[in-house]
Order: sequence, then structure tokens, then C-alpha cells
Amino acid sequence: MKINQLINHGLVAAVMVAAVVPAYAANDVVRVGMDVDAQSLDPRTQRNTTDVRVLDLLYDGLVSLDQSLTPQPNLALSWEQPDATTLIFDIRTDAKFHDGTPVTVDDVIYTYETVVDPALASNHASNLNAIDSVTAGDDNTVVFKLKAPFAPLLSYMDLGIVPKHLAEAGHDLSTQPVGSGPFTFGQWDRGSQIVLNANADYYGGVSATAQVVFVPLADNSARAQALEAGSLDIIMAPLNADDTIRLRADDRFQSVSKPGIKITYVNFNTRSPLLSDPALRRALSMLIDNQTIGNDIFGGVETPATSILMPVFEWGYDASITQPAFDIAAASAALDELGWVMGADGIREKDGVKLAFTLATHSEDSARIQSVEYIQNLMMAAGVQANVSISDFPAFIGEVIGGSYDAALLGWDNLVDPDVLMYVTLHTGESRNWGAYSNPETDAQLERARTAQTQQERGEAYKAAARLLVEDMPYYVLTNAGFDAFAAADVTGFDPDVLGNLRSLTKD
Amino acid sequence: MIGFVAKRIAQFIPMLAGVVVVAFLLVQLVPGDPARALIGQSATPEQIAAVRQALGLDNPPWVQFYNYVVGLFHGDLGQSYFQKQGVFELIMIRLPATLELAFGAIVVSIVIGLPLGVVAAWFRGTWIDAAALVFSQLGVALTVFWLAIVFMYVFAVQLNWLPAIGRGTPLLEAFGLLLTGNPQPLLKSLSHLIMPAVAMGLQGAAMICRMVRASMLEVLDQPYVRTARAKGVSERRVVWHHALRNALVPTVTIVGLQFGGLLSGAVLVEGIFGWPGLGQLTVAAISQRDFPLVQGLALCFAVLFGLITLVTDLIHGAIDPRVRDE
Amino acid sequence: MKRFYKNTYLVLGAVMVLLLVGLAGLVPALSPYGVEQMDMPNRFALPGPQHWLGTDNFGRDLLTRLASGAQISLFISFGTVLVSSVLGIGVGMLAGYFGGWLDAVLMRFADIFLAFPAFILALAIIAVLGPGPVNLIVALAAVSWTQYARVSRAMTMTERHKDYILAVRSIGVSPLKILLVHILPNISGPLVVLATFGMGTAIVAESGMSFLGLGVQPPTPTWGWSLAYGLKYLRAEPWMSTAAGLAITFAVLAFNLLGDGIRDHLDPGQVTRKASRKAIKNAFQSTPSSRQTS
Repeated sequence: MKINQLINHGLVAAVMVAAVVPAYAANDVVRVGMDVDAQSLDPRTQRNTTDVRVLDLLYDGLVSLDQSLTPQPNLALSWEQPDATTLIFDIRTDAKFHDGTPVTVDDVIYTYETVVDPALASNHASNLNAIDSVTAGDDNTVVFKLKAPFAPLLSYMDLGIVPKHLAEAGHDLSTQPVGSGPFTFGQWDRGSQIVLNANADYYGGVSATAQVVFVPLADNSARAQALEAGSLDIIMAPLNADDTIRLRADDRFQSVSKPGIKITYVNFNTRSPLLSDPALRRALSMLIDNQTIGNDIFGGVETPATSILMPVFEWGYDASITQPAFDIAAASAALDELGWVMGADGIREKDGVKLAFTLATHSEDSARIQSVEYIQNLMMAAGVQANVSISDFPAFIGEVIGGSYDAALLGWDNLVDPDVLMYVTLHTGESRNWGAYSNPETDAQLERARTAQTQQERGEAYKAAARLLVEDMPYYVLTNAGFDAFAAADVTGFDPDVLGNLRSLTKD
Repeated sequence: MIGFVAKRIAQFIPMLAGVVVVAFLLVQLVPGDPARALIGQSATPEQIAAVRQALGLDNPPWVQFYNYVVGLFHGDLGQSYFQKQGVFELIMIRLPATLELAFGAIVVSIVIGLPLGVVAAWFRGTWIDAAALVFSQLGVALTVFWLAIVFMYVFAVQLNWLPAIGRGTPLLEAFGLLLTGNPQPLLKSLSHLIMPAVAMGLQGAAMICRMVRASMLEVLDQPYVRTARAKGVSERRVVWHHALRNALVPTVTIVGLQFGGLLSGAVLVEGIFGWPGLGQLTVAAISQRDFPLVQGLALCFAVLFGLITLVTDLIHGAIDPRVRDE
Repeated sequence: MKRFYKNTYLVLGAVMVLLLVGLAGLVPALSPYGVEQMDMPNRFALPGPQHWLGTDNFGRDLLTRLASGAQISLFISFGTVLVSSVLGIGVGMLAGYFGGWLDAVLMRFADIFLAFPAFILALAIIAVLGPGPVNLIVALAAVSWTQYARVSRAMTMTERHKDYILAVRSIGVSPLKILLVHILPNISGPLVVLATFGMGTAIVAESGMSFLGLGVQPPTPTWGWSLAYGLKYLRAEPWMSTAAGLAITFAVLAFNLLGDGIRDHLDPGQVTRKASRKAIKNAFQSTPSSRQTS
């Protein structure tokens, strides 16, 4: 209890100090509502979206992604690529960690070496696998050598740089973060709040916001109501469609609505005897009405997808490449052609086998549950029996990853590059290809997209892959999520990027 | 009395042991891998294996159970997989918040239910009585989480009278500050507490109202009471005093019954109001498959349950001598 | 019979329960709308000539849907009460009649279920067994059987010493027959009361579990799902959750009134009423009966 009291008094002191120090702060305190508490404040072991948002304020990476997801200089002043497998970054010298020590080339090397250590079980490891070695070059430069050309790499280099001297000394960064970013760590009351204070010594100038407090509040309705009641200053997705529409129309709040980097999709298990035939998958896809799902069930917050290509990557998008359109009559005709005959109970049969499978999703997202219920209803009209199965996320994802599912409705988030969405999930034999999809032609295109040197060629490769995928239909992509965020009128600098990061709060 | 308490504690030991075993069994049987929950969707099989080993999950179940029980005997409830802190500390940090909520709900139940029941009995047969009865029936039927969201909408969003989420200064501290002449923290704490407490306490209020009314009427209906009334005021006062005392017994019973239900109800309400208590912790622990934390919470609730029943029985014994002879 | 009609609670409760059962059976059969019939352009319609109770988030007719929901709710709550009462009364009577070490063992076993947090137990059982109405019944019964055990044990202990039981024992009737034929009918009053309250509690518990997405699977039309979806749309379309909430309230009210009425009906006299209430109270001394997960 004594520790608790100390923390409480510490908080009071911190607030008093924060109130005094940045006298020209545009915002004193900004309270941001999140759906879950953070899990780890070490950038290498970041686990959920709250981690991402808090880490963005605490740490700097070599680059930072701007609103169009283009890498911009951060700790790296500039970079060059002398050949396809070498990347050299010139590191700035005026950046300091929150404990006062300067950020050096050694810290960069340490970060990139340890992030791929299996003991850390980092989510970034698979993205950074292409790196063969990281060494110091002349004059404050870091040299990355790659095993093979890997075009998307730069988009992953916003990884926060950690202080080597502290990490090696056994300091646990995941609970006591020390970065070099525009905010320093104040305190973390588990389940209640994470308090960050403006960094007075930040190389980019002192933040215009003096203090940011992240508040976890699981219930989406409660978070929206808290904003309206003035208990929170900023909230962002995930939000209920109903609340999003209402808040957009409410003049009391600033709102931001952009195309997001997340998709919701149906994952077909190609190992399942019923679903191993692409023709059947195409027929089933014709029974999914993603227009209604996107516009009504998701309230327009997620836009219906045309294919696996995401509009946010304009260079790699082609609206003319489309998944099978919603058409119950065409689907019925296709099923007839495949030999599925309507049975007396309204369910199709072939060789004594019913056209029945399980459509699973997880319990935490009511829009997904409603989508599954809606799809099931539509499929019944064509004589297809989709049995709904809902369990909580750990049980659900365990089944999907284990391959013991038929069709699953879930999503992918943080898709900063099409490679993240397509390679590890659809390339033969890759770790996240849970549906065991395999097509050598698609593989070839995905590999080409990875190694191509121009964005245009990468775009061509992804379009070619998409054309193959709308024939094979291992995934039916339902929607491209939008990103919505809302803030109270008096919050200045409110301009989150599509990742939900709030660096803009540092500006006036 | 000491003998009574000691006997009770002796009864609780096998129960606690049973709870530990059941919790462990359930945790082993529930599908879902904590290592995967820890790392996320993109985990590779090697990463999962490494984390499982670090957490001791690759040991056979009886070894894990043995290690856990040995730890218990040393007073060590283990480390939370997710929060990298001792389970005991995590629970202790959040326990006061949930106790505050339960306490608030009980106060609401008594403050609303007891007077309402008395008034209903006094004005028996009139519309006041009928209104109280309607309340007592409805109150039990309304679902807690529905009430919570509706309250939040009406009082926080529409009327802006009360803060929507969070908890103020801990009540005990706020009381202390009140004594030093600063009422602000207490007022703030109460403004945060009132909505969740009322949402959770209305059911108890309805039950207490009903029971109190019935108990009082039971006494007031006795033949000797009517005679006493006829005789004069002072005897009526004695009778009311006796009736009220009779009403306290079911009140205490219900409060005791409520506590167990309150701990469960807190789970949903805490999530809605962002109340940083054990309920939120339980939901998070289960959805993350944080085994040591789930087991620790089960044990903690069981201990609380034991303490509450003990206290309720003692109070019963104090109020109603007849009960003591059981 | 006259007593029956004088007893307002009993009449009201019985009428409401009959109404509920009647609607549950008749409305889906007579309704022009299918339970699953979606109509997206007409989502969230308010009550009107087309849809007497309006429509839900998929445009399905709420009256049909809630009436079907009554079927499921009644099935689950009846099932829960049946399982928990049979188990609880069985254990309780055995413990109360034989006493001694059997009593101690059985009651400690019951204590574990009593002390174990209801929420965790129910969620864990559902997670292990999977979702579905039968598994939900198992989970809810596991959480609520102990109250029947406690009450029947207390009453059996009292009855055991009474003259008529001693008489029957002396002529050598088997214990099982004594328990079932002689004791059980005499202790059934309070147990029936418990059962009716249990129906209401089970309905609320089911709605809580469905609210979390872990109850019965869609598209089964449970009230819990209607309430859950309705709450997500509360601000723009408050009617759906209100309708579902009212349905739940109506059902729970019906069963509670019935329970109160039965209790009053069985013990009109002061002496027996006091005795049975005292028995319940004593049995409940260490027994939270409001074991619900919502």
C-alpha cells in the first residue's frame, strides 16, 4: 500500500510539474481512450495497437511513416542504397535518450540485432528477416546488408531504437520504457492509465502537448460516451458504427476519417475437402454481399473491398480486378453446374454429402458476428448450410492457426505495405498461410513484388497476383477498414495518421 | 465464539484446496494457448515454443500443478504471464477498488431498500405500499449491464451531471482528506462511484425492501401487537422497535447473499465504467489465458467468500440469539 | 381455491407465465414472418402496422423473434433449473438424511462450487465444452445447484427427526423410499419457490453470456443476442434493446411473482410460514443464492 501511496503522490507531483514547465503548451493534458491496455512498451516486443500508439510517442525509429505511409527521416538524416542488397543510413547526432545519453550508431545496431533474437519473440522478426548484417559504417552511419533484395524493408524501419546501455544492464524496457521520442514515460497504472510527459530535450523541439494520458476502456459504447461526456479528449477505432456515424455529424467534435490499413476477410481452409475446389469457393463468394456488410453492418466505416488490393496503396491498386460479385442466381447456377442438387430439406447434396461447413469468428467484435449471421442467412437462400461458430479470440485463433477450421472471418491490421498482407499469408508454405493455399504462379508474382526495385514494377506484380487470387479465392476480402478518430474541439494538433499515431499532437 | 470461528476456518481449508484444484483443471482444459495470446497472430512456431518453455508450459500438467502448490505454501501466487508482476500484488492493487464498488452497492441497497420496506409496511394497503411492491418486483428483474449503459447515457452524456468513467481518489483516503477540511476529493470520488454502485445495488434494494416489509408485517400482525396498540403509544414504540429488529435479520442475510453476486456483477459493470477493479482484471485474465492470474483470482474470490460468510454469520448471531443455537 | 384467487401474486404470476408460454408457442407459428427472414432496407423499424414490435438490426420482425426467443429462454432456464435442482436436491437430501462423514464430504464438495467465482466457472465450462444451449445449461447449472443442496439438506435434517419418519423407519422401509416418498413431498414447498426464482435468474444469466458472445450461437433468436446487438446501436436505435430488455424483465417478473405467490399460497398460516422462512434463512446463512453472471 505504501508503494501505491508513493505512486499517487508521484502522480500529483508529476501533474504539478507538467503544468508548470511547458508554459506555452497548446494542450495541457490530452486523454486518449484505447480499447485495450498496453502490453509491452519495448518497441521490439510490441504486441497490440495500444502498444504501437504509445511507442510512437516514446521512441524514434530510423524513419517515420508519414500520412501516405512514405518513410521520412527521423533518427536517420538520410539514406542511400548503393546496390540492391545494401542500405546505408546517416544517423543524426543531436538525439538523446530520456536519461540524457546520446543516441548512437551502437544503439541502432543493438536494436536490430536483438529484435530478431528468438527469445524476444518479436512480431517484427519476420519482417526483418531479410537483414543479413548490421554494422557501423564511417562517420555516424549504419550499414545494413540484406540476404536478398527486399523492397518493402524501408517501411519497417520505423522500429523504435532502444538504449543499448540500459537494455544490456538488465533494465526492463517493456515496463519502464526509455526512448528518445517527443514524450517521456511518466507512469503506468495497469488497466487504468499510461501517463506520458513532454520531453523538454527533444531534438525536434518541445511538444505542444504537455501530457498525454492513455486510458483503456474496453466497451466501445462506453468510450464514445466518455468522449461526449468530456471524460476523454480523443478516441479512435475500434468504435461501433452507430457511434461513428453520430460523432461524425456532431459539430462539437473534430473528426478524421481516412482509408485504413486493415482488412476484414473470410479465410477459406483449402485443406478442407469441401473447400479445396476453387470453383466452389468462387460460387460461395457469390453469396457474400459485402456491399450490405460494409455499408449497413459496418455502417460505412469499412468500405466494401473489390479485391485483395488496397486502395490506400494507389500504386498497387486496380479497381477493375474484382472478386466474384454478389449474385444469388449466378451462385445457384454455378452450384448446379458443380453437381450440387437441392435436397428436400433445402440444403444441397452431392454423392450423399451435404453442402455444409462451419463459418467461424471470434466473440469480441459484434460487427463480425453480425456479418457471419448475415452471410449464413444469404447462403441458406441458395441451399448452402453455413453453421456459425463463435468463441473467444484465443480459442478461435488457435483453431485457425492449427488448421482445424472450414471458413473463418477475421482481419489483418497494420498493413503498412501490401507485402505484409500477401506474402507471408498466401505464399506456399509460409508461416501465416493458415489455409494452406498454394499456387506457384502466385508465388512467383509475390516474390517478384518483393525483389523489384521500382514501385511501378511492384505494383504490376501485385496486380498480377490479384488477378490470380480472384480466380482461386483463398480469401474473400470483405472490406477495407477506414480509420476514424474523434477529438474534443479544444484539442490542437489533432491529425492522427492511418496507424492511429498521434505525433501531430506535438505540433501547434 | 473463538471455537465457532476456528471451526469455520477449519471447514474452509478443504474448500480452498478444492477451489485450487478446480481452477487448475479448468485452466488446463480450456482451449487457447497463452503463449500465442502473448505474442499475437503473427507468431512463428519457434517463437511459441520458446515462450512456452520460458513460462513452464511445456512441463506435464502434474509437474505444473506441483510447482504451483509448492509456491502456494510459500505464499507465492506466481507471476502473471502478461503483466510481469506477481499475481498477489496485481490482485492487491485492484482489490480496494472492487471492495469499494461492492460496499457502495450494499450501501445503496440498504439506504434505498430498508426505508422503502419500512414505509411500505407503515402505509400498508395504500398506493405507497403498492409502489414499493412494484419497485421490489421490477428491481430484481432489471439486468445490471443494461442499467449501467442507460445510466451512463442519461447522467453522463445527456445531463452531464456525473463523470462517465474511472474512479476518483480511494474512499478511505478521501475520508481522511475530508477530516483535514478538504471535501473535494470525497465529492469527486462519490461522483465516480454513484452510477456503478446504483446499477449494482438496485437489485439488492428491491430484495431488501420486499423482505423488510414482509418481516415487519409478520410482527405487526401478531395478536399481541394489536393488543399493545390498543393499550397506548409507548407500547407501540416498543413494538416498532421489535419489528425493525426483526427486519434486520433478512437484511443482513440478503447483504451476505448479495456480496457473492456482486463480485460477479462487478465483472461486467467495471468494464463499462472503466472501474479499475478485480472484475476488469478477471475478464482480461480469462481472455488472455493468463493462467496464474486466473487461478489467483479464483482463490482470492473464494477467500473473500469465506470471510463474508463468516462475518455474516457472526452478525446474525449477534442480532438474533435464536440463530446462535443452530 | 378461494385462497388461490385471493392471492394476487400467484394469479398475476401464473397468468404472466401462461402468457409467455402461449406467445412462445403461438406467435412463431402464426406469424407471417419467418424467424430468420431478413429485410435489410427495413432495419430498426419502430412498432407499426407492418411490424407490431418493429424490426431488429437485420430487419427481422421483433415480435416473432422475441417470441421465438422466449422458447429458447424457457428451454434453457427450465433445463438449468431441472438439472441444478435434481443434482442439488439429491446431494442435499442424502447429506441431510445420513449425516456424518457423507454429509461432511458432500457439503465440502458443494462449498467448492459455492466459493468458486460464478463468472469464471461458467465462462470456463463454456470454453471447454463449446457454445450451445445444452452446454450453457451445464454451465449455469454448475453455478446454481448448491442452493438447492443447502435448502434440501436443512429441511431433510429437520424432517428426519419427526415422528412420522421415525415410525416409517421402524417398520423397515428403505431409505430411498423414505427420502422420495415421505420426505420429499413435505419439503417441496420452499424448493418450488427456489426453482421459480431460479428460472428468472437463468434467463438473465443466459442474456449475460450471449451479451459477451459466448452464449447460444446465432442465428438462434435468444433475448441475450437481441439485447447485445440492441445495446451496440443504443443511441441511434434505442427501441431494439428496450424491447429485448422489456421481454427479459417481463419473463423474470412473471417467474418471481409466481414464486412469491406459491410461497404465500403454501404457507398461509403464520406458524408454518415462519418455520419455512426460517428454514430457508438458516440454509442460506452461508449461501449466496444470487449466483448470476450478469
